[in-house]
Amino acid sequence: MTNSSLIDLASAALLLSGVFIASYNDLARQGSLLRLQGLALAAIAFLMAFEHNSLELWIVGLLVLVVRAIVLPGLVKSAAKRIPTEKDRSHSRVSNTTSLLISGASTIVAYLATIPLSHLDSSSTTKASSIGLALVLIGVQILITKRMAVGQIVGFLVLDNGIAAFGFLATLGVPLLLELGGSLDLLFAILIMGALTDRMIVKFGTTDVDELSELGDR
Amino acid sequence: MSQLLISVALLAPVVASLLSFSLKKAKVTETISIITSLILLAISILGMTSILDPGRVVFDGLLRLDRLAQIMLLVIGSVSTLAGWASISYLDSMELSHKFSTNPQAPPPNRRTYWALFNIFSFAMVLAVLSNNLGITWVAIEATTIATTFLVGFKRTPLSLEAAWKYAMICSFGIAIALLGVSIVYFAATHSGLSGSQALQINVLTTHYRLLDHSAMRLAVGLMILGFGAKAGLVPFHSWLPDAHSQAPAPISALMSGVLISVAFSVILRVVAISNLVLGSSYAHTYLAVMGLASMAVASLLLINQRDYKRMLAQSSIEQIGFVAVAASFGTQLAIAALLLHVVVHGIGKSLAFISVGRVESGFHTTEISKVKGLLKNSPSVGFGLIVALSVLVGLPPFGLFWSETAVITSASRTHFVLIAAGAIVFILISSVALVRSVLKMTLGPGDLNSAIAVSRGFSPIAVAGFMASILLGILASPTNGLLMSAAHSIAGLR
Repeated sequence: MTNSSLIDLASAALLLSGVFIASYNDLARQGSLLRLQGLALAAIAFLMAFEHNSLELWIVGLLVLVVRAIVLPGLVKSAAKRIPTEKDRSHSRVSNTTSLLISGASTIVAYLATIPLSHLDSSSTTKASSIGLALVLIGVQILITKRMAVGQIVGFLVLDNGIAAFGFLATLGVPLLLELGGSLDLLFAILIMGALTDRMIVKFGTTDVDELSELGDR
Repeated sequence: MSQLLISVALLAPVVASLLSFSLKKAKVTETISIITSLILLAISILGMTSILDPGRVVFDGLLRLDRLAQIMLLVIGSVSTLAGWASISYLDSMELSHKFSTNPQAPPPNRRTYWALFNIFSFAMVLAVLSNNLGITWVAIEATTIATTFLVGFKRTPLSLEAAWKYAMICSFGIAIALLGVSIVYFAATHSGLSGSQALQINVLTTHYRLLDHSAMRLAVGLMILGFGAKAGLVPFHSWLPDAHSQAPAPISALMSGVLISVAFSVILRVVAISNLVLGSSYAHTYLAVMGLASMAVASLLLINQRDYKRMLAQSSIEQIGFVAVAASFGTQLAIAALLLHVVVHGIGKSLAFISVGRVESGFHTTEISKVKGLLKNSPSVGFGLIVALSVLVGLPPFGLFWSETAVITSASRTHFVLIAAGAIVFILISSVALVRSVLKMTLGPGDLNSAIAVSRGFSPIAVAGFMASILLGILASPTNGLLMSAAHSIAGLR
C-alpha cells in the first residue's frame, strides 16, 4: 500500500468513527470510538512526517497521539463510569436513523463547501480536507442532539478533531507552536467542562443539560 | 525598548498569577495584583508617549506593540485596576456572608484561586492584543475562556453553574469556528508561497495580500468574524453574555464587559484589516453592519422590559459592542478612531457600573430592579457611582461616548451608511431610555430606614476614581486625537 492510500484509509476511519459516535448513545463506546479517531489522526500526522521527512510533524504527531488518542478519550471513559445511569431517559434528541441521515447530509454539504478550496491545489490531501469539514459539522450535530453534558463534550471533541484533520490534510499540519497551544487549550477546556459536569451531578443529580433552564429573560 | 515593554507586559501578570497561587497572605496577593494592573497601564502610556516605531514587530515577528495594542492595553490596565481594587471588598463581603450563612458545608470563597485566575485572565488578554500571529491570538482568546469559566462559576450556586456551563460551551464553540478560519488562512497563505512560520503573521499577510486566494479567504474571514464575534458578544452567539455577567462576581463582570469583549473585537479589527486588502472593504463591512445592527436590535428590545439590573448592564454591553461593530462597518478613519475612543470610555463606564451594582447586590441580596430603592439617600457613594456610570453609558457630554457616538454618526456620509446610522440611533435611544428609567428607579426615591442598604464604606475612592477617569477622558480625548487617528489609519486596511 502506498503512503497516500494509507492516508486515505485513516481519513475514512476518521469520518466513519465520527458518524458512529453521533449515532451511539453509550458513553463508553463513544470513548472507544474517540480513541480510534485520535489514533487515525495521529496516523495521518506520522504518515505525513514520514513522507516529508519533517521532525516538526513527528513531534506534532506524538502530541496528537498523547492528547487526542490517550488523555482525552480516557477522560470521557472515566466520566462514563462516574456518572449515574439514567435509564428511562433517551440521551439523544433524535433516533439512530435520523442521526445517520443528518451525518450523511453533513458530509455532502462539507464536500460542496470545500469545492472552492480544491481548485487551489488538486492533490488528494486537499480533497480529503472535506472530511475535516464533515467531521466539524458532525461535531456540531452531536453538540445539538445530545442532552447529557458529557455527550456534548464528546461532540466538542469531534468538532476539534475535525479542525485538526482539516489542518493536517489541507496544509501539512499547522505550525508546532499553534498545535501545542491549541492542545493545551483543548485539554484545559475539557478538564473544566468535566469539573462542571461533576458539580452538576452534586447540585442537580443529573447531567441533563435541559435541566439548565433557570437563566434567561422572561 | 519595545521588546522590553512587551516582555514586562507579558511577564508581570504571569509572575503575579504564580505568586497569588503560592503566597498565603491575602493582603500581599491583592497588592501584587493591583500593582500588576498599574504596570500594564503604565506600559500603555509609555508606549503611547515614546517615540518608538509602533509598527515594529519583535520576537521573530510574533509580537508587537502597535497603536491598537497600546490602546487596548490602556483599557486592560485601567479596568483591571478598578476591578482588582473592587475585588478586595467584594471578596471580604463574600467571606463575611459565608461566615453567617445557614449552610456551613459550603466552602468559603477561595481567594488564591480567584487572584491566580484574575491574573491569568489579564495575561491572556494582554497576549491577545500584543500578538502579531493569528494562531497565537487564537490561543490567547481561548485561554481567556478557560481562565474565566471558573470565575463565572465562582459563587458555586446552581445558577452560576448553569451560567458557567453555557459560557464554556458557547464560547468554546465559537472559538473552534474561528480556529477553522485560522486554519484556512494558513492554507491560503502556504499555498500562495509564504513560509509556514510567516503564514499567520498579520503584518506579513497585510503586505503580501495580493498573493492570497480570494475564495479561501472569503470562507476564512467569515468564519473568523463569526467565531471571534462569539467572544465579543455579537449576535448570533451573544446569549452567554447576560447569563455569565449576571452570575459572575461583580468585578469579574466588570472585566468581561469592560475589556474582554473589546479585546475580542480588536481581534476582529485585525481580521477586517486583512480582509479589506484581499477582498475589498465591502465584504467584511457587510458582516459587521449586519451583526452589529442585529446585536443592537436584540439587546435594546430585551432592555425595554428588563427586571434584573445585572442582566440589564450585560445587555447594554451587547448593544454597545453592536454599535462598535456598526462603526467598524463604516470603515472611515474617523469612524474607527471614534470606535477606539468608544471602547476605552465604555470600558471604564461599564466597569464602574458593575462594581457599583456589585455593592448593591451584596447589600440587598437581590438583583431585581424593583426591589432596590433610594440608593442615593441610603448609600450615597454607591448611588453616585451608579449615576456617573449611567451618564457615561448613555453618552451625556462631557463624557467620551458623546464624542464617539457623534463622530461615528457624522462619518456615515454615504447613502447606504445613513440608513444603518439611522437604525443605530433608534436603538441607542431605546436602550438609553431603558437604562435611565431603571437606574433612576434604583437611585432616587425615599430610602426608608427598614430597607436594606448597600454598604458604601470604602467605596467613595473607587467611585471618585472612576468619575475622574471618565471626565479626564472626555476632556482630553476626542476622536480626532492624533494618536487615535494614527491607530485608525494603521488598522483601517484601506487600499
